[in-house]
Amino acid sequence: MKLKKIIRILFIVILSSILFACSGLDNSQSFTTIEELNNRRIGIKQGTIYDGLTKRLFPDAEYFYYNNNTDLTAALKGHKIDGFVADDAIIDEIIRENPEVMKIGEHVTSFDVGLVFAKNDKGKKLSEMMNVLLKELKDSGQMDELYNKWLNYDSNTEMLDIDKLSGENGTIILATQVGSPPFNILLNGKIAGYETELTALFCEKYGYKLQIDEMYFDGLLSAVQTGKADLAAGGIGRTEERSKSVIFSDADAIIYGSVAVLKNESNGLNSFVDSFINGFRGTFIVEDRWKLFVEGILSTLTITLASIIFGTALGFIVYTNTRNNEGLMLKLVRSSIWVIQGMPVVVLLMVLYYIIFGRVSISGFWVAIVGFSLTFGCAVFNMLSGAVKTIDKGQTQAAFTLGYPEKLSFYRIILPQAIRFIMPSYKSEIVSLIKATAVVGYIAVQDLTKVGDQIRSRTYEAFFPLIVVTILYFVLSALLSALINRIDFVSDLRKRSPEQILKGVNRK
Amino acid sequence: MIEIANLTKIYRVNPIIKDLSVTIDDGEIISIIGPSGCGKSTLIKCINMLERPTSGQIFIDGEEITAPGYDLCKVARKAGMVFQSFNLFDHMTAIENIMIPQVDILKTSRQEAYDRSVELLKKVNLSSKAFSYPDQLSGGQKQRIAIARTLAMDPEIILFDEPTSALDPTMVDEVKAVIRDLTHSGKTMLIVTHDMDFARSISRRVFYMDEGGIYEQGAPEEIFVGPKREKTREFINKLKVLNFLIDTKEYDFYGAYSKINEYCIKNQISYIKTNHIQSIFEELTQGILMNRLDEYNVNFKVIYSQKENEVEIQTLYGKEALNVMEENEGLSARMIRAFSSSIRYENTKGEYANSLYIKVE
Repeated sequence: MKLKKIIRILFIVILSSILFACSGLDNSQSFTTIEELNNRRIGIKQGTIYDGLTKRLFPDAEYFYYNNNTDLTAALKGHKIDGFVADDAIIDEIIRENPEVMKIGEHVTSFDVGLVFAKNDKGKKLSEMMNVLLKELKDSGQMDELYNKWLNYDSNTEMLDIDKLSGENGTIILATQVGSPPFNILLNGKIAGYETELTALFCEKYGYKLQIDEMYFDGLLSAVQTGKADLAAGGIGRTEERSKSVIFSDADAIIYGSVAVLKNESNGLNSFVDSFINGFRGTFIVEDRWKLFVEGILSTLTITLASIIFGTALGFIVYTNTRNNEGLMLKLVRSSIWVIQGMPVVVLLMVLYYIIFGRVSISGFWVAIVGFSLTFGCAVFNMLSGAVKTIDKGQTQAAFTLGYPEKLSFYRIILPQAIRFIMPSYKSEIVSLIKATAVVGYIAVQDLTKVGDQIRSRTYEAFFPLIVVTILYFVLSALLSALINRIDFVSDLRKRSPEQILKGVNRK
Repeated sequence: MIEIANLTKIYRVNPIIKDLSVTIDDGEIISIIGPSGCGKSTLIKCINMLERPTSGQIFIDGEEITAPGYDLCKVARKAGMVFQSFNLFDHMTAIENIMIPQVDILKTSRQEAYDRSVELLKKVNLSSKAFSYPDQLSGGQKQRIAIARTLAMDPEIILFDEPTSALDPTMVDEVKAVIRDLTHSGKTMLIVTHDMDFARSISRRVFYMDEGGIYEQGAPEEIFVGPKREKTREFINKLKVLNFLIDTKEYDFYGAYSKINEYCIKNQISYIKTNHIQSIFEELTQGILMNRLDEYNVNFKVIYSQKENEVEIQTLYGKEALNVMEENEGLSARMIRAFSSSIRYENTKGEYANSLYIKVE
């Protein structure tokens, strides 16, 4: 048993090393001009203004879409793409962490960046207030100072402490995506950056508290539109198309776009060891990033456990209340299950977050619990009704002829037998649940997967965060299975001793 | 006392029991026999309302249990049931199967329930199996536990639904012995069974059910030795009947031959006898009756008695008295005599005026 475990761990370690070595393999060709990249493979960050720009610059290229700059960098390093267009400042930071990346050519574009508000009365009022602040900062020269501070940030850079905001006029919710320096970044485990600080200054000036929700870039605008957030930031370029659906503040910065490609360099053994050590440090040690993993684990575990508990309760209550019902009620339940189970979970979560709870102030964390409780509840309902059907009719008949009322017969005779059938599928359902929660990042929840993404947004390095997240998921599901096995042991009537069976009886 | 009045039970569109009325006294032990699907099981399942009657009334001790709103748990307390497939609770040990219903339903203390269970386990000779689960017991053991479970609830009536049908032949006796023991307890017992010897030896009254009701009833000797009615006789003597109604001279006789052949194979009747039956059929229907009857109308029956291993041919024919075999020295008649061991003629009333009974050699 022990030996088996050791072999398993060894296997994982070896596999990881091979993966890491592969991720460092290099057989690239180099580019020196932008023209050379046309008709090659170009990466695009989804939902950004670089989408249209890239297609104009490289009309004959093949396009690949990614969610964030980290994935773009990883794809570039992994030779999935030959180049991509991004903010000049972002490429600079990528180069700092990844010496094998370089810029080619001149700036390909420039555009105004602003903060985004909803197109309604409240958004209009807030945007005008923001414009007043921006003008003040610009006139006093503080704006350039602030921008430069974040352009050259390091782990000692300090920001206005958002916990000290007075908040007498309520709370402002900021939607943003980290990994867009200098605007919004993850620093020492907290969200910081130029636009984050601008928003904090705004809250300080007008007496608001600040709540920051981190989400994917292409969700930022819809978060503002649906009222999930009061404003969005993330180096969002002002385009005519976007101005149709949201209000932009005055420009707070100008962004230049550049093209990033790989240098032609081969990696020796030395650089292999170096990059291994650097990767490890960047993932765990720098800025105490391991703490983020702890937070991520806690949030993944909480969502999973809460969904198991609520979902089991929900499935059980709905089943027991409809089990003798043939009418409208059962049809209603069946069609709800059909709808819930027919949707990909991530779509269900977004529907809940943006539409059903669109106007309600409820955090993504609770929406995730609601969503997964619903899907888990459906699974429990189906397991129960399936298992009860497999119980021989004779059991009910025997209970009836002994004088058991219908309800007592269900709870005493049928259910305990059904549970024995259910247990194996229940266990596997739990293991799939913990893996399924990996999509909650879409609705602004900091779970384990999202934390891995965020750390990658700083290190621009795929290997360590992904492997660590993978291993942590394994560990978590193993722990949960062990827990369930314990419960199963308690519920397994067969393992009782004669003393337990005859509790409270004097056997002479 | 159980009184059943005009009981009818219809499954979908098939009437299983039609307008059945009977009274059963306290302490009576009744066997219910009859062919499959005759409604024996349905009848006893109606008595404890496991099956809801389509119409009619059932009274137990003067209370109408079929009345709407009558507490069915009360019925169950009065009438216990032992099933063909045992139906022990699979998630409980043998002793729990006997003990837990007492605690749950009779609200006896666990200690009392335990004491009673131990006593009952001893009674059915299974004290050593107290902590076995049903799937660790043989069929006979399961049925004995099921009987003990029913007894633990102390019902006035016990309904046995083919208690030995699902058992391996080696285990039938142990279960029968337990049931036989119960006959001295004074409880009313209704036993549906296919085991004729058991039915005969255990009960004071036998119901033969057929045609959707109690077709004939009486003391075991009456039913088993001298059944009065035709179907009872067929059933008791395990008679297999093949019937041809011939009302035209263009009748499909070749089809009839092959039916006789099939019937004989099915009942394992010897090749020679099969030939004799076919020959008698041919000579009688075509050789003799076709010429002698003004209106060709014959009911030809082949009756095989499994019990006696004998075949009798019963031929009903004609509107007026006419013994076609009397003083008949024709070739056909001689052949029939050659193939039979005895021939009996009767002048009957009803649809046919004549009956000819021929025992096949």
